Amino acid sequence: MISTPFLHVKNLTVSYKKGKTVFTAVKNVSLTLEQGKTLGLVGESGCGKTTLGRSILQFHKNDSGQVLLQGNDLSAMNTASLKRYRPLMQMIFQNPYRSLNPRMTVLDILSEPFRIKERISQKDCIQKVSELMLNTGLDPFMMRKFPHEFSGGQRQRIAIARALAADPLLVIADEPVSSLDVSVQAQILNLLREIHEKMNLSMIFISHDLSVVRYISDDIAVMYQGKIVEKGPCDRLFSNPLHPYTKTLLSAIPVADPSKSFYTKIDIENEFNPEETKRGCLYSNRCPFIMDICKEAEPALETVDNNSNHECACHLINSGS
Amino acid sequence: MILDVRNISTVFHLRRADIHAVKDVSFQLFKGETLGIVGESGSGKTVLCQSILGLLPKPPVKTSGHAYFDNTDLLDCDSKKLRQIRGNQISMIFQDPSSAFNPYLRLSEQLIEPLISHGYKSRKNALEKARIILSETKIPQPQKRMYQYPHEFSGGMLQRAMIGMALITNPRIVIADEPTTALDVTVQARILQLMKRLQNQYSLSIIFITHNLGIVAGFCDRVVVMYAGVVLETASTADLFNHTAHPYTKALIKSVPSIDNSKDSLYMIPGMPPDPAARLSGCPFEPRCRYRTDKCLKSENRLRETGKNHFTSCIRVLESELSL
Repeated sequence: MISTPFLHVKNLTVSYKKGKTVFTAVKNVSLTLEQGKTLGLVGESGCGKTTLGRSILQFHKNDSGQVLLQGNDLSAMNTASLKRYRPLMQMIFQNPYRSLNPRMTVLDILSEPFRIKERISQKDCIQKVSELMLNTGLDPFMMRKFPHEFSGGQRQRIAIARALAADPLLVIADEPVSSLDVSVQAQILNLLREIHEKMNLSMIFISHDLSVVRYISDDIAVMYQGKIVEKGPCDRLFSNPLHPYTKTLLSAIPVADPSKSFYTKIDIENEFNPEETKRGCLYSNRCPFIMDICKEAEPALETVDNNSNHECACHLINSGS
Repeated sequence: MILDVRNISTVFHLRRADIHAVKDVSFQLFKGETLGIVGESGSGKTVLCQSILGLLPKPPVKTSGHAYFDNTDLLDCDSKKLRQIRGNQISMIFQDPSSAFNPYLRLSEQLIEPLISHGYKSRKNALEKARIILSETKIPQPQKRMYQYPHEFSGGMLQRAMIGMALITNPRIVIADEPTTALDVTVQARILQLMKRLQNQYSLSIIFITHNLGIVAGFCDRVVVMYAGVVLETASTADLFNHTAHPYTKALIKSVPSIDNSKDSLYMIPGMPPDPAARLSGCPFEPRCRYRTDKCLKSENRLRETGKNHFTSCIRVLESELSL
């Protein structure tokens, strides 16, 4: 590629160490994100999707690999030089009941990002907070209230407004709707999409539910045990899912149609067991299509279709059968 | 019929206002049936079930109505009698498994507690029973795992253990309050499949509380749709989806994200549920309803039959002005 992508994650590996035990949460992951696009990152809990998101923002130091934001390697920077990049990258957290300080008013919460950035008069501050609240569907008259006076959906709006307060270029949303009701979930997803289009943001949207990711993403990456197993444009991944794990994720989505029982297709006995897969394909102990080669060699992420950037790491697909 | 709930109303008498959380709700539960109670948060579905089991503190809560279980009115029996039924014949599965267990106690102690408190004498037999129930809920190595602490389990595993704990006394009714909301989609599918299997094995009746109509579609036999403390529609699952008779139900169905329909239109219900302290007249969904007319506020909000065993409170559907 000749032009530098907006965000380029190159061979990123992140691990947690406790005494002598090392747990590698993200294994050699590479991805790119263009300006103004959204990448959906999907997988079960424990697959490393949150760790990946957090290490892109340099909350965790990575073991190896690079995180390039507009060509600048964030992982090689010291704390002082990182500080200049921090406002450009913001995060929306999963649980709006825990991510907002209960002792700060909405005004304090939303003005903190630009108070840190620059000196600002109280009048301008209130002006800016009102704009933010209006943009995220909140009533500016409520800015002196505390988080506990808001419902779950409203709190998530506050969290979104806080992420936008620093005028970021990149927003990482870590399961922003999974603790909300379906009806509120739809409101928040529509809000995120609207803001994303209006502000030309780049976004990484982390979720365990493919049906939620679909509404908001241009590209989707499916993670399993720290690796990306399938990656491709959103429409392509839904119309032609290749990896058996992606198919499992798709079949577990509840469908509002009584003639289809979604949960019966899932194999109940095969629980995720990380100890069993030390060799070969990480998914081999759960995969219904297991072949001999799956236990021996780990499949690499290979391009399936040159026209659409659809990549998949599965022997079944890559061997052409 | 195993449980007959008639005209339950629950009021929280608070200093600032009286909150009418449940208003005049009736439903029946039959043997071996799965009844879904659906509604947004704050619709009163959890309070309804807690009222039936007498789990709410009185005062400030005042509950009226009847809940007949085996000719016993659960709302009108003394606490000793209620304690014999609760956890023994009717048990409950809670929403968040990681906060429902006591972090200081081994799983084994918590699993046998219902047995011991309902007169089981032998600790050794109780532990054996706990091991069997854990293997039935598909927890690997139950003999070893049952002596571990809750933090050593994943969310899905803990939810399995809680299902085991609810079933250990061989109850006739299990009330599951959003048992899969905190879990991943794949784990959710496994838990639902497990519950269905155990339901057949133990011929259980299940009351399944959820906000997601997608889950109801595949899992429940009959559905009660609640909003702002009242029931708006009840029907068999097939009727609810194929002959929807309330705009609110329709809106809930449409807001389930799907992988089949168009990517560009995710339906959302505008506005928010009403303030629980406000006393409303007429249809409570009126301010958010796209089909509202003047008479929606004037008419009494009452369930009436629109098809066989299919009840709705929408006046416009009942008067055949509206088909959804």
